[in-house]
Amino acid sequence: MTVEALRRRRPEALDDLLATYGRQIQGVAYLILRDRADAEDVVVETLLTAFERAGDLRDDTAFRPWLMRIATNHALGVRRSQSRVVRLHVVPDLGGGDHVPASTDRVALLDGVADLPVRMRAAVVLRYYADLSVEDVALALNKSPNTIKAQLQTALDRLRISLADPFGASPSEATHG
Amino acid sequence: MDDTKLEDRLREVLRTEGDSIPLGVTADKVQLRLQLRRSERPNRRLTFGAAAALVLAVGFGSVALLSNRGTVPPVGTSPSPSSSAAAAVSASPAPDYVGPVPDIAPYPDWQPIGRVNGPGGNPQTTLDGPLPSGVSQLLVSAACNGSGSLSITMTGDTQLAVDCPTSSTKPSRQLSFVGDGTQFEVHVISSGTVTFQVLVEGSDVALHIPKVVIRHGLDEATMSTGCLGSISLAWGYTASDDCATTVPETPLKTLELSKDTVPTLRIDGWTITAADARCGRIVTSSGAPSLFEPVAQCQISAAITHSIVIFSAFPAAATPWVVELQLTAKNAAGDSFTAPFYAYVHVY
Repeated sequence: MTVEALRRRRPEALDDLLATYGRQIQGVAYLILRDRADAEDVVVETLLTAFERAGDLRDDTAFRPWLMRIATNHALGVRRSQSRVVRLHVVPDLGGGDHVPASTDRVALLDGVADLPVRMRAAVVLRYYADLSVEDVALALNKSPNTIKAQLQTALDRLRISLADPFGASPSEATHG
Repeated sequence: MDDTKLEDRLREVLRTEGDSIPLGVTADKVQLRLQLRRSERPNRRLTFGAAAALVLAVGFGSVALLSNRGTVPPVGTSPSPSSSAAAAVSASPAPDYVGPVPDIAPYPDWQPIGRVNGPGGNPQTTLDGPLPSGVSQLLVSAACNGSGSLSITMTGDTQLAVDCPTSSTKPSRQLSFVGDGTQFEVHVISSGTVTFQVLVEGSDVALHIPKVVIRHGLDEATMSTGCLGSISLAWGYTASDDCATTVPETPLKTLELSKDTVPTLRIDGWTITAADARCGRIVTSSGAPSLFEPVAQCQISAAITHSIVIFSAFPAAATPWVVELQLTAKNAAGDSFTAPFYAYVHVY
């Protein structure tokens, strides 16, 4: 898949984009939104936005971070539109399918990530799932690298607490040990 | 578990979880959505020339009416775009006429970059053009007459829905981040019988945070702004961030202070509504941002009197203290922010 083909709006570029990046975009969206249907919508919207806006991309080497940024913005947009909907806590589906067997720390980490404020969660997903650099995460979320570093550090601290007490204490109740 | 081990485990868990879901989107589905999207916007790429030809075809009798439709009148006092940089507008004709919408006043501190008046009926109007250098935020304001609604989509994928009528003096607004993009596009779809005006403005930030200077006598130091905790714009936009007590990377300025004297602070044009001061040190560790840490030996406070912040005295010390001032302030337009500010205070 070449960025040039995307810029020229060749229809087959969309197929290539889906094949190359679809699963990763879906992963980012799912980890932020915790909803498969919403994540699939984000995949489609991200691909179409990339298809229509490829001309805005100045640096071809920054294509993947640019794509992840679009995906994150769409996911956060979905999240914003749902912000008035009170969601029940979603327990990760740990059995069957392609899932690996559950382990306590895995559940604790996933719960911990799901409990992070949404933008902090997005930073964690982009850094540790999409493997973006801190600078690219900062660009994606329109924050300074310093802010992202601080958010990631805070997230790690909170996740460490989740690991220490996987069965319930909120971060404010738990203490560092 | 140390950070490195935790990060490794987090990567493993997130990748397992994120990659465990089969891709639920097919190429056909994407192509279908693309076709649908294109069919929804058949006329969005009409050229400026085509729009002008449309205007001419209607004839002189409607000149007064059409002068307020599908054109880009000069905006505020900002420089008009050059011919190559002019915002291009395409608009469909309207079956009904409701009445022109008075001009929306530019928002303070924002740079107007495009304005379009739209017809009623069921048309689609597109306003696009180059983004001025340094603009990373778009502010789109919309007002309309008549009965119906507007659906506005803008660069940055933000949307604004407007129920008409909406006054020009209190338009509906939406902010959109465009990053380092070079072009902007605003698509307006109206329904019902309406006329509307959309004003597009740009800025490098959503809200300009004022300079904060701590002073005593003739000595003064500009405080460095930390992580912006929240902003609230008068028209209803709010944003907040989860800020750690990160000290800015830029070197902090130092205020020299004799023992038992108190520094003060005021911000021109802003009313300070809350202030909380702490005294401490900067804690650094390799590869991590510098953090502010309060120190028990340096207990200070800040009081607000007539929008002036008055600090309590700082204890003398061989090395400068770092003062962190958490401020909430509001300007005349009603915009407000909460942010920490930092400076060294050296008490001799």
